[in-house]
Amino acid sequence: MSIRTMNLIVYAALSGLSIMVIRAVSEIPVTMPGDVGSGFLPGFLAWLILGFCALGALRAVLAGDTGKFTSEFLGRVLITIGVIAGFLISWETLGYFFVQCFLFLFGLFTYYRWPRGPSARLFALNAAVAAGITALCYVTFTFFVFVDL
Amino acid sequence: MDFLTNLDLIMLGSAALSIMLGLFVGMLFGALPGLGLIIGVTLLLPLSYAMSPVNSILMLLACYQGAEYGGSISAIVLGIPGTAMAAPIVLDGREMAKTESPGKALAYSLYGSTFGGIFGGLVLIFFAVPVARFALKLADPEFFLLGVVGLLAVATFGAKDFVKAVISVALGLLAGTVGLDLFTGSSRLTADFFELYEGLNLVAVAVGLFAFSEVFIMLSGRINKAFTFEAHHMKISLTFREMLGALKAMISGSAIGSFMGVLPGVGSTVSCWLAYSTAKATSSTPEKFGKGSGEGIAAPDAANNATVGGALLPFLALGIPGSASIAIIAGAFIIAGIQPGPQMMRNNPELIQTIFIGFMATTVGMFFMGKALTQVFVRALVTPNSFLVPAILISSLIGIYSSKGQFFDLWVALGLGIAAWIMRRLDYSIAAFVLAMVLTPIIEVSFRRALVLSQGDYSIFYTRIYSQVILVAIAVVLGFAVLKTVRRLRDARLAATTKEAVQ
Amino acid sequence: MTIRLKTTLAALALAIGAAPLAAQDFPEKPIEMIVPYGAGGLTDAFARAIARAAEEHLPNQQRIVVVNKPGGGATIGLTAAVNADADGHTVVFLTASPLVIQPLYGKTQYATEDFQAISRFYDIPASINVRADSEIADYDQWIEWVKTHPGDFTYGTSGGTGSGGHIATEELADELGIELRHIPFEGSAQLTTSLMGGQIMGTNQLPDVHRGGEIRPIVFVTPTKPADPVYDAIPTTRELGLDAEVIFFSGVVGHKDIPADRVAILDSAFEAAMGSADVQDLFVKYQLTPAYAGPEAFGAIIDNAVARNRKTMKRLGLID
Repeated sequence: MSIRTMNLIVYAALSGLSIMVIRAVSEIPVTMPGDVGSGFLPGFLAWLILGFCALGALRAVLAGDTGKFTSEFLGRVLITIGVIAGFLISWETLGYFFVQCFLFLFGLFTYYRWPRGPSARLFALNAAVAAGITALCYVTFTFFVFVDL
Repeated sequence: MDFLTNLDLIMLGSAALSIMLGLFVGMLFGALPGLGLIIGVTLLLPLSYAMSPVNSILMLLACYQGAEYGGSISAIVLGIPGTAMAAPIVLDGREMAKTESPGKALAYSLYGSTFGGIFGGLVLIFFAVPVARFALKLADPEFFLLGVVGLLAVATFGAKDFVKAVISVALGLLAGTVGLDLFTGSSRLTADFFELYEGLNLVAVAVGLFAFSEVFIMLSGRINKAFTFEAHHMKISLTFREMLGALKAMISGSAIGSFMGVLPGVGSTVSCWLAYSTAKATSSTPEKFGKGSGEGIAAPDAANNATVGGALLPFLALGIPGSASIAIIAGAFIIAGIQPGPQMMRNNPELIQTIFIGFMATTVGMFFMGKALTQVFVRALVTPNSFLVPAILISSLIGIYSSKGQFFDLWVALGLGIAAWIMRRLDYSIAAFVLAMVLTPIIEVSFRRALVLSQGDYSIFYTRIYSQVILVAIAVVLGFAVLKTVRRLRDARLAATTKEAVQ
Repeated sequence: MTIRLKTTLAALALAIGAAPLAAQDFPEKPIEMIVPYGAGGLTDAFARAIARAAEEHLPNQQRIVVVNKPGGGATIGLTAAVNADADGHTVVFLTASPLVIQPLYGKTQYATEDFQAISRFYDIPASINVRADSEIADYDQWIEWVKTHPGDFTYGTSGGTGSGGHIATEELADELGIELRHIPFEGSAQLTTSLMGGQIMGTNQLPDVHRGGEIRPIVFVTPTKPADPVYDAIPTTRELGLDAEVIFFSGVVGHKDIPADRVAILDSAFEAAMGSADVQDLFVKYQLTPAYAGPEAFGAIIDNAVARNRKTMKRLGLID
C-alpha cells in the first residue's frame, strides 16, 4: 500500500468519525441562559476536522505517490495485537489473572526469542523471568495496593 | 530558629528514612508506564497510618516528587513517558538519548527536577499566603485564556505537517469532551457506555497512545538486541557550563510550574507543556528543540516538580487541595488530625515550618537518590526488547486496570494504541492530542461558565484586568514568534544571496 | 412495590416465622461489599472501616470483602449489584446520588426500587453559604437580599446541573418563592476557590468554618449539622419550619429480592459495627454525623428522597 492510499484511508475514517459526532450532538438542546450548549464544541471540532481532512485529501491527491507504507515484521506486530486481545478476553471471562499473566509473559518471551534457537536453557530463562515478574505483581498488588486483579 | 534545637537524631533519621522510601516508590512507579503517582500513594497510604504525622506527610510528598521525576526516566530511555506529565520530555529527551547520551539527557532531567522542586519549595515558603490570595482573584475568563495559551504550545512542537497537527489537536479536544456534561447533566458522545460517563480515562489514553504504539514500533525492529550504552555515557551529571546553559529554561519552567500548580484543576500535565513552549520561545537556540535540546528537557521537568510546591500552596494556605494528588495527600493530613488552612498557618507555625524544611529535604534527597538509582532503573529498562516488550505490556495493562477497574479502558487503550501506531507514521502528533485532551475541561468549562455568569455577554473575556494581562501576553508571544520567523526567513534569503554572489 | 411496603411485609414474614429456616446457613461465603468509588477517598475509607468492624458480628465467621467498582458516576457499581445473586452475599455501599437521582433519568440499567435498604450510617451536612466578608450575615438578610434582587444570587454546586446540591437548592428556592441562578462546578476545590474569589455569591456545600475556612453558612438544607459549636446559631430548614430538605446519606443496600431474614442479619452486623472504635474514630476525624437507620427507616428516607427529587427535576425540566 502506498503512503498516499493510507493517508486517504485515514482521512476518510476521520471524516466518518466527524459525521458521527455531528449527528450525535446536533440534537442536544441549550438549557442554560448564556450557555453555548454542550453540543457546541464537539460540533465545531467535528466540522474543523472534516474541513482539514478535505484539505489534506486534496493535497495528498495532488502530491502524487510518495512511497510505500510498509512495516518490517508486520506479522509479529499483528500477532502481538491478537495475543493482547485474546489475553484481555480470557482475563475478563476466566479470571485467574496471575496464572494468565504468567502464560502471557512466557508465551510472548518464547515467541520473541524463538529466532535464537529453541533450547532448554531458553525455556527455563523465559519461565524464570515470567514467574519473577508475575510474583512481583502478585505481592505488590495483593498485599500493598489492594487492587483485585 | 529555635525549632532546630528541638530536633533530635532519631526524629531526623526516621524522617530521612520516610523521605527515602517515598522517593523510591515514587520514582519506581513513575518510571513504570501506566502505574503512576496515584498507585504509588495508594501503596504508601496504609503505611502512613502507622507513622508519625510529619513523617507520613513527608513520605507522601517525597513520593509525589519522585513520581514527577520518575516519569522522565522511561520517557528518555524508552520514549514512553512513565506518567502523562512526562510526555513533553519524550520530544527532546529521547532524541538526546539516541544521538548524544542518555546519561546527559537524564542529567538535564534530574537537574531540572531538582531546580524546579527547590524553586517550588521556596515559593511555598515565602509566598504561600500572598500567592494563594492572588490566585483566588483569577476566574473563569482567565482560566479559559490560560487554556488557549496552553493550546498555542502545540505550535512549538515543530509539526512536520500543519494540517495533521490541527487534526491531532481537534481530535484531542474532541476526546476531552466525552462524558457527562456539567451544564446539562446529560451525557454526550458516550454511545451509551457507562464507562465513558466520567470521560475517557487519561491513564488509558496516555498508555495506549504512547506505550502501546511505541511497543508496536519496537516490534517492527530487531528485538533481541539490547541497547548498549558506553559506561561513561551513563554518567548522570552536567558540567557547570551545561547547567548554566539550561538555567534560563529551568527558571522559566519553575515559575510556570509553581504558578500553574496553584490554580485548581490545572496541574502539572498542562504546566510542563507550557514550560516547554516558553523555553523554546525564549531560547537562543530554538532550532535545537525537538533534536535533543537540554533546555527542552530541563524546562518541562522543572515545571513538573515546581508544580508540587505550587499545588501544595493553596492547600496549606487556604485548605483547598489544588490537584487530585494533593487531595489524596490531604487525606494523610486529616488522618493525622491536621486541618490545613489559614488557622493552621496562625496556630501551628512550627508544624508548617517542619513541613517546609522537610519539603526542601525531599527535593535535595531526590537529587542524590536520582543520581544513585537512575542507573539501576536504566539498566533494568535497557534489557533486550524481547524481554522488555511483554513486561511493558503487562505493566501497562495492570496500570490501566488498577486506575479504575474497568476492562473497557483496556480495550480503549488497545484501540488507541493501534490507531496511534498507524497515525504516528503518517506524521500525526500524539503529543498534541494528549495536550489538547487535558486542556479541554479547562477551555470548554471555563468558557461556558464565564458566559453563563455574564449571561451571554462576551465582553467578560476582555474587560477584566487579569484577562487583559493574559491577552497582552498572548499578543506579545505571537508577535515575537512572527518577528522571529520573519527575521529567520530574511537571514536565510540574505545568506542565499550572498552565497550566490560569492559564486 | 415501594421499598417501605416491601420491608414491612418482609419484617412481618420474619415475625411470624415464615422464613427463618435457613438463617444459620447465612452467610455461607464471604460477603462482597461493592464500593462504587475509587480506592482512597473518604467514602472508601469509611466503607473499609465499617466492613472490617461488621465482619466480627457476622455469623459463621465470614469476612466482608470490599471491591471497588468506580465509574459512570457510581452507576457501574450499582449495576453490578443488581446483576448479582439476590442471596445476600453481595451488597453495595453508596451515597445518595446514584440511588435517588441517577435512576430518575431513566438511563441506568436499574431503578431505585431494585434495591433493598439495609443500613444507613451517616449523613453529610450541607448549607447555603456566602463569603465570610459578605454583606449578607444571616438567613433573614439573605431572604431580604434575594427577594429584592431576583435572579441575581448566583450559587455554585460541586456536581453541576442535576446534582444533589442543585436539586436541593432549587427545591428550597421553589418553596420560598425566590429566584436563584445556578452555576455548575466540578469538585469542591474549584467551587470554594470561586466563592472566595468572588466569582459567585454563594454555594451549596459542606461549610468549612470548623476547619478555619472563610465561608459563612446561612442555612442548612440538611436536618443535620457538623458536630461543632460554631454552627449552633445556624438554622436548618427543618428548624425554620420549611418543608424543603435533603439528606445526603451514606449506607448499604442490596438486591431487592434478598430474603428478609438475611437483610436482618446484615443490618444487625452493621448496626453493631457502628459502635466499633475504628468507625467512631473516623466519625470524629472527618466530622461526620453518625446517623444509623435500619432497613425500614432507611427505606423510608430513600422513598421520600425519590419523590422530592422527581418533583423538582420535573419542574427544572431535567426529566419529563
